[in-house]
Amino acid sequence: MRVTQHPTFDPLPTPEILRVPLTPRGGVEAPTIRPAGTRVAAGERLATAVSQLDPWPIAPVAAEIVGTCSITLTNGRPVPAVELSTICDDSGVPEFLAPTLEAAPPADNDRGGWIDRLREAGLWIDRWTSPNLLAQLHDSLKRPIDTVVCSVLDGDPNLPIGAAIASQETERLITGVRRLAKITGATKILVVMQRRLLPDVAAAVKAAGGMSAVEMVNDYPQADPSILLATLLKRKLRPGRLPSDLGVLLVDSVAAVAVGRVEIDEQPMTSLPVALFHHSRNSTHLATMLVGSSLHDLLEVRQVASGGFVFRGGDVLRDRRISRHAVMAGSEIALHASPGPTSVNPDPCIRCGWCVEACPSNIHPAGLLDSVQRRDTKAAEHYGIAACVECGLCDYVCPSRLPILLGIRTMRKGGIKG
Amino acid sequence: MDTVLPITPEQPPPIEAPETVLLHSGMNVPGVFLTFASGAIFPMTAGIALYGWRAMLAIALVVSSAMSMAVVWRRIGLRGGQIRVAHMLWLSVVLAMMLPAHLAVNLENADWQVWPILPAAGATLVILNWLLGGLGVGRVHPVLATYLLMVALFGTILNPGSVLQRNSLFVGDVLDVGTGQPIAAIKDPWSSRPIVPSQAALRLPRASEQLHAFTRGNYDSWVSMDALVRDRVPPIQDLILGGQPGPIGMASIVAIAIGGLFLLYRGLIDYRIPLLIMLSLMLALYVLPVPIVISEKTDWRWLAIRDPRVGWATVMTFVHYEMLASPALFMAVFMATDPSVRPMAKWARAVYAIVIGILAAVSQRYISISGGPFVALLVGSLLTPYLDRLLRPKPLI
Repeated sequence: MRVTQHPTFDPLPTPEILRVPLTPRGGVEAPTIRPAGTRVAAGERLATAVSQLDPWPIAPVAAEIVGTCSITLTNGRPVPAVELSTICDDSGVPEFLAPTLEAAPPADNDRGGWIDRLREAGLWIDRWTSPNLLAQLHDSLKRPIDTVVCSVLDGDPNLPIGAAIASQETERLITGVRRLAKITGATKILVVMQRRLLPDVAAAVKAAGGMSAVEMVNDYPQADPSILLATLLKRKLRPGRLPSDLGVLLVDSVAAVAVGRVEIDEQPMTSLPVALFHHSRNSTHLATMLVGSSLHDLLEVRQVASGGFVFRGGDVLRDRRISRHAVMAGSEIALHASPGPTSVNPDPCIRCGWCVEACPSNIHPAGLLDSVQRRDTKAAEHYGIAACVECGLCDYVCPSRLPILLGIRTMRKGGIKG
Repeated sequence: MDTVLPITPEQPPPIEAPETVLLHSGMNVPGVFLTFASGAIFPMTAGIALYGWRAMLAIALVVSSAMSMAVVWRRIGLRGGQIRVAHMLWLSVVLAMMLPAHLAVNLENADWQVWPILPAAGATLVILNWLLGGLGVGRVHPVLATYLLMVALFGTILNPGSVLQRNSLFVGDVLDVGTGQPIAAIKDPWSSRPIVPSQAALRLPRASEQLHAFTRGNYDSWVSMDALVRDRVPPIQDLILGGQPGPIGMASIVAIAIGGLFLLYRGLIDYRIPLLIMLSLMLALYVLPVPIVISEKTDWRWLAIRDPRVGWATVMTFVHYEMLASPALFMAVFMATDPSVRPMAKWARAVYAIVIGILAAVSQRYISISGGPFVALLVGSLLTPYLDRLLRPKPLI
């Protein structure tokens, strides 16, 4: 983005209905929730039991439980949720109170205790630029983690959420990263950023001691975990795998700030920063939204005309389409609204090789598409389907407008997984 | 619950981003080939300047016939649907640049009308493109196939022999050569050559013919390499800037280089291919056996630059003449970089370029200077599928 000043994320008014996801994982049994009609206070648990891998679903505001429902997240994943009817105060406006955690923090060196505290705080981070945090932390109990990497790079440079949050909440970011290093036992902390754009953050990181600010140009898709770790640490992370497999804990700045908020403010994660880029208006809308709000709420409050629009979660080139009712939680926080797709009749491949040149993973997208058309999984493996990070750059540059990304996804669904 | 966050009913102003995010780069297939064709404007202009209105007419005949044929041929079969007008425009422009200007209209001393060769070449190009796989599929460059077919059918008719004088640029008739006898030895470069009155063009011996005769031992008198480069070939400026008879697009090395730089700037071609072709061509020409002296017994030497009898300066000049008198640079910039024939991966492109450069050196020294580079490209492009398979990029992850 070419925003010269880092903007603030104004909180969106509390919607009347919130749908708080019960688990970030799709296709699993929903946790048991408290009975319908139960009134819950802000920060109170909504379920009676959850898996060890999942954060506790908590009420972002005072509300009444309506029941369970099915929702889709901003990464397009369907998950079960609990529907809440927010409770208004005397003036008829829903209360928006930032709750605090009731339990006292565990001892500094109690690694398991801190993981549980983050779970209790409803800390849910699982998006493209910041893989599943709780899963990485659980992994750290089983295998050594030597490095914590905090990425201040934004997946989409047009939506600089990470950079904005890092510049506004630098102290929480540093505290959060340091806490993650203590939990994992990592000895090295790297904060990756474009220092030229964030000189204050770089200076604060340097002054904090024990961590380094690493310069990196925020070219798309540099924030992708696989590309980032390959560039930064020369470690080869297969797309879809957790960085903890390679001894690294990777978070983005929004996640680090959320951890810092748990430690400093003792606040659970009830809201999150969100950015929507409106392609027709050429404008960016930033907001702090409650967990369980929907994209529809943002569009309504900001009066964003969106009839006939297509919405995407995450970077626009990755083309993860979502509905306007997608729910905000720990998944993608960078959103796009663009006019509906025009029908394109692709030309034959002219072998220009631009997809090969543009590919950050050094694979052969044109060869992959050819393999998909021939349903040749062996050739697809030869051309590097396992290394594809699905950044969509091949689709972007292809002059023939061939659906390369769609082909790769189709092939993966058919058996070859990254 | 100790912190109350403010509710802001009024809407904060949206942040204006100056650039629109696109879902696609905007470059499409016609755009690619039209940009390629734009790069050909530079050598084409030089050709029209030096070979006059006949060059312009020749280009028009080839391109228009190819376009008309493409419109018809698009309707034939599934593969016909893959023919794109912009692609055919680019290919026909390249083909037109490989043909001589004197084919336009008619030769005065020919027994038959030669101008139909030009529209026939355009039409053949479309048919061969269709036969060889259509857009982006073929392994043989359709222009190359068409050109080699034309050479096989019409042979010496395609050999150019004259160039316009300075006072007749663009508008002169390249066949207006007076008595028509070639001038034996040219000392002055074209830019400062005295104007011969009452004729627009001069019939000149081509450097490629002289070099070819030398490497084939076709001189009937004693000739050393030193004497050849000193007395028998035209000034090297004529090859670099222009002033030699030749096909339309090969009038000026500088114009070809500018066209190549334009295509590089627009990101359409990979610099490795022309660079490595020319470098490997030069190195191979230095190494390959070459006659030192043509006499009763021709004296061939490997690495002639190390032979004290000729001296490095003479060998370097000879090699430079060989490089500039052949269509190697044209082939390297406008044909070897064609998406349909060059490999897609970086290393494969490098190997492909080196192979073509070496083959071009061998074929132009021992077979034909004017056709050798094209034969090399034909062989090199056949290796492309194997190079693509063997030298695919190594995944980062």
